Amino acid sequence: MHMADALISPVTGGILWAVSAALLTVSSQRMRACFDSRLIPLMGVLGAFIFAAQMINFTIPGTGSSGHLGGGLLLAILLGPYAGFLTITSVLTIQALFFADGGLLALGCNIFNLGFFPCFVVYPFLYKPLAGLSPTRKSLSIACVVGAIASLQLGAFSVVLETVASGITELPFASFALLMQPIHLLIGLVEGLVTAAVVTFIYNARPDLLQLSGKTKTWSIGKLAATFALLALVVGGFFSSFVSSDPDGLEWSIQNLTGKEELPAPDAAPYNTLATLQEKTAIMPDYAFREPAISEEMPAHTTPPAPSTETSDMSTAESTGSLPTLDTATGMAGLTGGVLTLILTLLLGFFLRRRARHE
Amino acid sequence: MSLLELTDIHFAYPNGHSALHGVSFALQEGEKVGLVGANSAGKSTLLLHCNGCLFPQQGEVVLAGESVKGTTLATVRKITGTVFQDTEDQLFMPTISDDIAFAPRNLGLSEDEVHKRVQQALEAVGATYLSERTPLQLSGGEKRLAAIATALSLEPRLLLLDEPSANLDPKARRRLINLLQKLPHTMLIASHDLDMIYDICPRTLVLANGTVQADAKTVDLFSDASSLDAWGLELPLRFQND
Amino acid sequence: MNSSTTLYNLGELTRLGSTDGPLQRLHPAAKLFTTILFIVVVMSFGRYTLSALLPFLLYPVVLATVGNIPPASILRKVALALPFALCIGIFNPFLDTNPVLYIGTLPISGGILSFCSILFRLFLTVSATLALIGITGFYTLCAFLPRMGVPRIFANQLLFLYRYLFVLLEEASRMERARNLRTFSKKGLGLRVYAQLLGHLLLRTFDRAERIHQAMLCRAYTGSLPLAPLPPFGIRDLLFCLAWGLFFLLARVYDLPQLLGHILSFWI
Repeated sequence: MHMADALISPVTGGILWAVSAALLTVSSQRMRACFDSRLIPLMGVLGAFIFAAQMINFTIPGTGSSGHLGGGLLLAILLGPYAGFLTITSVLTIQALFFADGGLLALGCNIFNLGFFPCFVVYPFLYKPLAGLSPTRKSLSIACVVGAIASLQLGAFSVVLETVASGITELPFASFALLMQPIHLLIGLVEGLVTAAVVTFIYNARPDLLQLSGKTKTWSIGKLAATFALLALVVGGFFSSFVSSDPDGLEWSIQNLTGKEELPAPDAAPYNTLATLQEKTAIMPDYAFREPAISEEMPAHTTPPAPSTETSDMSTAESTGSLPTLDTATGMAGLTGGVLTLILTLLLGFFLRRRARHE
Repeated sequence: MSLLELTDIHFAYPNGHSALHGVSFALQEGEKVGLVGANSAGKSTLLLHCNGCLFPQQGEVVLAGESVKGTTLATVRKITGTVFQDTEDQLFMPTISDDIAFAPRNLGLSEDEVHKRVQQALEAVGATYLSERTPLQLSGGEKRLAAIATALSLEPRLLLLDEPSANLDPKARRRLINLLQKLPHTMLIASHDLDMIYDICPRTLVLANGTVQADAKTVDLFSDASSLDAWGLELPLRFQND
Repeated sequence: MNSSTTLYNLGELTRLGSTDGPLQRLHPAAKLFTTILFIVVVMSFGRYTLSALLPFLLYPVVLATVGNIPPASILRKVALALPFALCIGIFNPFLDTNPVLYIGTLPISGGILSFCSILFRLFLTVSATLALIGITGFYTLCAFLPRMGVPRIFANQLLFLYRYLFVLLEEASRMERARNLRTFSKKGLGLRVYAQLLGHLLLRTFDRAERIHQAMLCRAYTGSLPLAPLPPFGIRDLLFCLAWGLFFLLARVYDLPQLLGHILSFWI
């Protein structure tokens, strides 16, 4: 469930980049405070281990499908939250750069979804209390399974929020969440079982390798519930501001930067007739013709911030319905121009390649 | 004064496995000495004591007149160069030249001096062409040469080698033997390859059950089939057809 | 994807990163910033944008051709990235059926347009990222990270991760092969054996970390990896950034293909 660059807006990507960068800095500082030079190679090879482990599959009984190990929680268990977070971040970086799994812009989102939740939410507040101060095989297994499921649920929900906030897909928030959460319940269960099996194996063979020391304080159930509620409120409140008004990411940023809803639209008149060349060049030729249309409607949706998802769905439907259609001439111009651009680009590519070969 | 002197070394691992009990020997400057023994005889453990990776629970290691302990580690590691058994563990930097430069840069030498040392080390092992390669692009033999170069760039007085001929093809092995014969350093070579030890080291130590069972001329040791058998070894191949 | 293809993919990009050429010689900062700018600009368009995105194809095409990266290797990896974007984007044509433009008499719905836009952007962003790695090389990028303010601890262990990725992938694939050769009618492919296998691999990995650390200590390691100094950011690097930046700006403000189409129809 790695987010791809093609699914998020620069604003969403940017915000989560900032959050992840801050987490990265804090983690490194915490590690520097009690620096152990052994950790550098250990983190590196454990990251590589997660990678290698993901390449080996096992068959899930009763189904034809296969599962594999997820990384974040196991790394937190083996290395502690800070080193674990840095390591899962590097795993995700390499996946983004070399395997097109995620992307540069989406890296912040992926670090947050797959690193922050297991290392800084699930590990301290769920795994630790469940495993207990003097863990047994049973308590470790339960902690791993519950922890993995919780990590994936939080991660998947975060994917939903990020995607909807980016406004690239038409999928309404509620149905998207209903699609993602159950799937990830299953995936989480499988990952949890694998994590539990590996952790208990290590517990039997080399218990000294697990970060079992009771140094990190554990939390009471009441405190736990309060923290989760607070977190849910903050996250929910933050994202609902995106979700309810449903503007494109860029519009949202423009709105915030300039205080206006839209850059002064150069010319709001739709392309009804084949206008002169000068007129065409004056217009910001987005296909997003809905932008001016929406900006007229927007106050109606934004002033009373729509609290529930139903209203947000309606607003999406309405704005979609109000899309002005483009006429044939514009469509044709876009098509011919587009084809020509493609041909030109590819020709240039061939030319450059031939030149490179001759050199 | 000997370059390296071990007196009555005892060592047991945390899991209780006793690896060494009462090892004593000395190495003179310029000597090349073989260290042989069956699997888990304690060869690698012994080597790790010579460069201060492990400290004896009893006894003392003296290197160039200084006792090896926590406070003298910096000096110890400037004097010893270690070539580990698995070259993958030793070549961890992006390119071979970065790897050879690792120690000189850590010692705080200037970039010019670092560059000079890298060149010298690569020339010494006869592999200047490897400089800009990554470890992935190297064959087993080339990796071994590169690993030796990473140790040489420290300009050590004592070279510790753990199974240097393991996993090498015959040509690469021969090349390694010629190289080790040529290098002027004092050497302690742990290996199962008795033929190689025979070619390089005039003197050999036999380690069994955590103690030195024999310390003698290689020629004499390796012709004694019954003793070798008792130590879990056998005659070098070249003597087997006689 | 199994371990041997993974190894192959990794190795291919790494080999490319260590070849020489005009783009390879550029400062990593120039290439990294330009690529990030490229992705941000591409993703800043509205969801129905398609024609205005086409000129952006120029960037990955130029990087790949001048950088001598085989297009097939990029296309293969784009295909790997496809499923998730497909899963999420496929709903658009069904949910958004209002026609927004006509090509001839053929109506194109907003959903189809935005779906195509997602796929095209996926292609653009993925190919640009892969081309970046192909012409920069991971080590050069890692060496540059601390200068950008990335914590040194992170940058150092990233180098280790990359180095030992190859070693561990090979180790894992050997173990997997050993398991698969001795499993019959799916017996032995289950979770129990899998966990044992991973557990052993994990223990060996801990041992390896220990050995690497020893090898580092033996060579005067003090806590950070010394890397060769990077060349300075030169005028060529600046030009590279500026030229592309200008092009991105132009293509962001004007729908170039649309303009081209109009000029054509104007002539005719």
